[in-house]
Amino acid sequence: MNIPQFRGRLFWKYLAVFIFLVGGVLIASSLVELYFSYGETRRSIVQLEREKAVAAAYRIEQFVLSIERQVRGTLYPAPDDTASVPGRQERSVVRPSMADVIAQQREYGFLQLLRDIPAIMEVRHLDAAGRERLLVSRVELDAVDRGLNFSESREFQVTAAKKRYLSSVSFRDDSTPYMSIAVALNEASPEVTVATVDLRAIWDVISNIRVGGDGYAYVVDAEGRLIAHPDISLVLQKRDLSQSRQVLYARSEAGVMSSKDAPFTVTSGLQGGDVLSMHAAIPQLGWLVFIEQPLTELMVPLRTQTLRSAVVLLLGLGLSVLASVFLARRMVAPIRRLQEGAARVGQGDLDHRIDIHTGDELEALAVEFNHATSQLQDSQRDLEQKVQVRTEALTRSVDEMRALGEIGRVVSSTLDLDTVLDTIITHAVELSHADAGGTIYEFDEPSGVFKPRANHGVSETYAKVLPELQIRVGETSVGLCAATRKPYQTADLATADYSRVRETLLREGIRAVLAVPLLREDQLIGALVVRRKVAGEFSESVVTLLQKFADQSVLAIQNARLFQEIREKGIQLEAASQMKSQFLANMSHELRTPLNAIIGVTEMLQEDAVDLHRDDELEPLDQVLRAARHLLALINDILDLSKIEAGKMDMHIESFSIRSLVDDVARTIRTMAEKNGNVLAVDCAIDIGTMQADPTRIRQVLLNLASNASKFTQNGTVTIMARRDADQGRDWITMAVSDTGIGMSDEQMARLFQDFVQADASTTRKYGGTGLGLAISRRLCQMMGGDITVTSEPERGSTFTIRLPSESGIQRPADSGGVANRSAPAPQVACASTILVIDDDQSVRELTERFLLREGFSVVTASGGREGLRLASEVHPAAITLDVLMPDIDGWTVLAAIKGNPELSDIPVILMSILDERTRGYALGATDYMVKPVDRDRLTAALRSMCRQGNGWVLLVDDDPMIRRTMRLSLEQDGWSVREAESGRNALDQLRQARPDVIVLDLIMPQMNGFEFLVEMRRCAEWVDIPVLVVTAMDLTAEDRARLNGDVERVLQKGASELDELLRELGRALPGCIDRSRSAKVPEVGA
Amino acid sequence: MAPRSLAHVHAICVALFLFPLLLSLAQAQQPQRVIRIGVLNQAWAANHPAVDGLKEGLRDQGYIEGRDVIYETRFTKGDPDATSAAAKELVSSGVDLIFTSNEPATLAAKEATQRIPIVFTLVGDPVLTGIVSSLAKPGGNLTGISSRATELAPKRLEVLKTLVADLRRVWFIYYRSDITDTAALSSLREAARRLDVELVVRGVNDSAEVNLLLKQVRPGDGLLAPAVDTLDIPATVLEAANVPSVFPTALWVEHGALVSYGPNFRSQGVQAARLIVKILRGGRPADLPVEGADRIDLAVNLSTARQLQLIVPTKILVRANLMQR
Repeated sequence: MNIPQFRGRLFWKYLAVFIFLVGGVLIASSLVELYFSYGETRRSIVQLEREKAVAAAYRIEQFVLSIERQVRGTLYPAPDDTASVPGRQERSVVRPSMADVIAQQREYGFLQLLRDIPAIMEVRHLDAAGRERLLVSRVELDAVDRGLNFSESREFQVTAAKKRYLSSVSFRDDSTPYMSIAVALNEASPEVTVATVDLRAIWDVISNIRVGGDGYAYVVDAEGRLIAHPDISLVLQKRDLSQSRQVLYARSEAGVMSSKDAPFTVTSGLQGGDVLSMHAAIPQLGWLVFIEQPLTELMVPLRTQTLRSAVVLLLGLGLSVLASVFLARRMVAPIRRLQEGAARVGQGDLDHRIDIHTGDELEALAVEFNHATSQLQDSQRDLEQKVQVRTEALTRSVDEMRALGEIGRVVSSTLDLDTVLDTIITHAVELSHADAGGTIYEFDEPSGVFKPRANHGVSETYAKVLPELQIRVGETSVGLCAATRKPYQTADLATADYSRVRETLLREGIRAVLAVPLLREDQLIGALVVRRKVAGEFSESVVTLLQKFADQSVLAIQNARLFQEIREKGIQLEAASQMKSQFLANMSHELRTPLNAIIGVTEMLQEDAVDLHRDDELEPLDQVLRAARHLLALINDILDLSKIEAGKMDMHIESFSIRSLVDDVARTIRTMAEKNGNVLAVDCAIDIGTMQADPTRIRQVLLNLASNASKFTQNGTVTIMARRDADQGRDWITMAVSDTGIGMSDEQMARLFQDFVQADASTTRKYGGTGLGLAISRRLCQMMGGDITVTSEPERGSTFTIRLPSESGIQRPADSGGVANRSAPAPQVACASTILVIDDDQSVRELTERFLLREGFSVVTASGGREGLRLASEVHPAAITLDVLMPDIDGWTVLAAIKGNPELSDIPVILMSILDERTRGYALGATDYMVKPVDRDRLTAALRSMCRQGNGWVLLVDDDPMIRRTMRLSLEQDGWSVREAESGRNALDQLRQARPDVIVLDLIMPQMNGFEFLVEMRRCAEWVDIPVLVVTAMDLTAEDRARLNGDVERVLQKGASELDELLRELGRALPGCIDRSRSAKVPEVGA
Repeated sequence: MAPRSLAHVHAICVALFLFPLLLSLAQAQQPQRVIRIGVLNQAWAANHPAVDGLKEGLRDQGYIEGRDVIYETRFTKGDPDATSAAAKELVSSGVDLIFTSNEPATLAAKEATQRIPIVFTLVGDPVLTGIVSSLAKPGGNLTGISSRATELAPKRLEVLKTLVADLRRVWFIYYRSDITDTAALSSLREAARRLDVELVVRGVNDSAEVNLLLKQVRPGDGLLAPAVDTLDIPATVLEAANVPSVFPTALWVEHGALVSYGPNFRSQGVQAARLIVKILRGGRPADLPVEGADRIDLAVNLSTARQLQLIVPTKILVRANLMQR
């Protein structure tokens, strides 16, 4: 289950709320405090600065006034005589006048002023007329009674009128501010004293006023000019501030009042920027002292306060964070423990209990949760128990199913009853926990005794005792269950009724027995018994299970019995089939032999009649010949059909040209067709290509169809058609034979392919034929994966169509018997001197090759059996040397394969082995056998003789003089010398007289048949290597072939083909046999 | 709680606590920079009155030595080369301001830097000597206190004449190379005419000539000591002459001279301190007018007067603010 992770969500929420609350309160309080403190701060600053201004104004006023006072202190009332005696004072006057004294005192006073007040630069005394009477200067030379006229100066005029005059500020040397303070004693005394005062002291006063960081104080005189400012350059500019806002305000009524409501203005300062401007007036002088502080600076304490508030806020926040972390953790921790507990329980840890002791709802919740978990745990435990019980039951039933399945498998996979019953009893004992084993009994009905068939877990002694107990129905548990047809169990033998076997069982320690009857449709088959060493009843499930096992046992026993029956029947059938085959083979021989004689004699008579011009004999002879041939054909057809029926018709699939086949058929049938005045047409593309099938059989079918067509058509057309078309991804070859003959009705067609059926009974009489042709043809086509269909209209003609896959699905048998019942194609004539060396040892191969090359043979080598076989069929060598011990296929097998292949069987094979198993080698058809190390000279001689061409003499063994004669004529034409023997015994006599190069042997003969002859002949070592070629009319069975294999060179079938062909085949086959036999003889000669 | 989020919370808490702490620290640590003032003069000892005045003045303004200000004092004992070297040394040591006393020291400092503010004292005529372009607008990096030597020369003559009423002839011996004294000549001559005194003006090139000249001084003559800062002439005058002589500063009176009239050295230091404060508060020397020395002392040595058999007149006694008995 995917549980989303909510790590710390609750914690953070708590934290956020705490911080929000604490932070909010702090911020609010800080803002309120700031608001009020701003106002207070400003008020206090204004107050403070204004006090500074007032103080400065006072100091400046005091400075000026004290100087004035001191200057005034030098004033003396004018003496009366001074006015009347103006002019120079004479120091030499011995008795100075009052005026002189006063002048003297004034001078001293002035000098004292200079001494005591550094700010005074000079002091001048003007008389009532405004003339300078005395000048005392700090820098200038002092002057007395210079008489300079100052009567026009403002100092004099104003002072004279008002007793006092304060001049405006001027600058000396453009750097030092000064003013004149003129005083007069009173209006009545117009003498004026003028002091020039250096005002830099005021500058110092102003400069020393600290107004915050960037604030400043300055003084404006009565005319509005700046006279003192910390920045002296501003003062030296003599700035006129009379129109500035602060000055105007200060001069206004409100400003003069310096009302408490608005004791300041906010305006732009002297050096730019908004300032808070406060002022104080110096009424005596008419000056104004301003104190201005930039507003930005005013905010500085505010900023400090803000900062402090921020610090407090942050501290508060920090504390609140800590507190909230603490609280949140206190609150969240139990919740988290709850969550973790729930998670653990959710993950299946039901033993987990949540441990919370908060004493609140959380603890209650935890308790509830723990309670729920306990209940969950209980119910889960309960559930687990149930599941366990169910699982056990399930396991048991699975075991049972498995056991039953295995038993079923064993029952169906083997027919060995013991195995099946062992399996059943094993499982029965195991699943029923029968510790004393179990037994399956089979009820032997004739004797009425239960016979133990299978035991498991039974002690050896008891197992030995069991068969001797001879339990019958009604005795012991087994007998009782059989009697009641129901399971019977003895819960405790110790307390059970006496029975014959009770003591035996108790000795074995057996206490409880359960027996289940084996029944088939209420018929007693046997019983299944399990035994236990512990007393007590077997459970119902065990009883049921054992019943199932019993059913299986019944089935198995039944199967086994059935199988036994089937096998016995099979053997009987096999024997019957064998006998039938034998009968057919014999019969064909018995029928063909006289027929051959009839035909042969008739032909001879015919030839004689022609030669002797006995024309009246010709017709009857011809009839005899026709009848005989018909009979022969009939026999052949019956044989074919019977072979098809018996599944013994062999197909020899090969690739062949369709066109050639069609042409061949046309050529063969032409005479017959023309006999009825028919035109034979062939419709087949030149490039129709090849197909894979058995050409002999197709030829047979086509000939059959074509001959039918020719037979049933008079003065019409017979067309043989072949074409290729594709259907369902396969190439199909369609061959059709059409005629313009009598045709057939639907009814006739329906019966057409039935055995021995012609279109109707009259047909047979009219046209002849066996009535088997179409049936056989159809079977043959079906065997090659195709079919024959027919379309026909009465009086219009018929079309028989063969449809075959271009590649037959029937595989050519790899190792079909060495005897082919068909005419083998002419074997490829190999270079006479090509030798195939088959040996797995490379050195042997190379040595042999070099050696043979030197001797003038050409050599092909193969390193193994398979390759050897392949090369043999490709190269078709004159002879083969064959190693016996080879890894892939041993020499014996290769030899057998070569001898079994009609195309190769005529190739002489020399076995070369370190093993000396000559007899076996010769038996398998080896021409010679050489033990390694091979005598090279002997090998050369053998090979030379094998490769040589030439004729020898033939012993012809046949009981049929006609055949002998025919063959003899044929062979003698080929240059063979022929002797004849009419029986095997006769042949043996002949052999004793002279050894033939080859024997041509008929198999079925009176006195001593071919098989017997061969046995006799091979007994004699002298004759053992004489090649034998079998020519027989008999249909050879596999057993026959097996008997012949190795003893004969070749088997040719009489009757299957025309005699001429047989003879040709014989002519071809004989030389090979001779060669091989000669080469085999050479070493002996040489030895 | 996951360890990671715990660490988170702790980090936040720590940051919250650290921040105000850092803030207050930052405030406390506002650089109350110690100002370094280079003091340069040609005195023979470190305790030059002008320097004392400077220290007093700055102390009055709140600049406590060692806490707010430190003084790098270089006194060169009248050696011009050493003065120049000391000026360069002060400049290269990176002082914030140079305080000079007397004309050669000021010129040496001016030579050494055009960047560091220089506040001078004891300069007789700053404009004449080319130290500043004008008194009101000094320009450059110098400002200071003018001792008004040229201006006060006639007044000194007057003081001597007042003290010795029958004075007929006054010798004024000065170095020809001294611009200040040379500049005072015309006003001196005018004053001599007004005071009815014969002024004998003698320019010299070295102190040897001074001695020769002093031999020509006769009783009844007076001597006007030049306003130079070198000791040779005034000292020679003081030692060699037994005639009334007036000196430019009270210093000499303490050492036996009859009378002096001129600015107070110490006061000049105090006065300069005010300028320095203005500069330290952001004022530019170029904008600060050169101030004339604001305290001019009349000092008289009564015992010397007695030795010369002079009766000090009342006017001198009334006016004199320093009297050596």
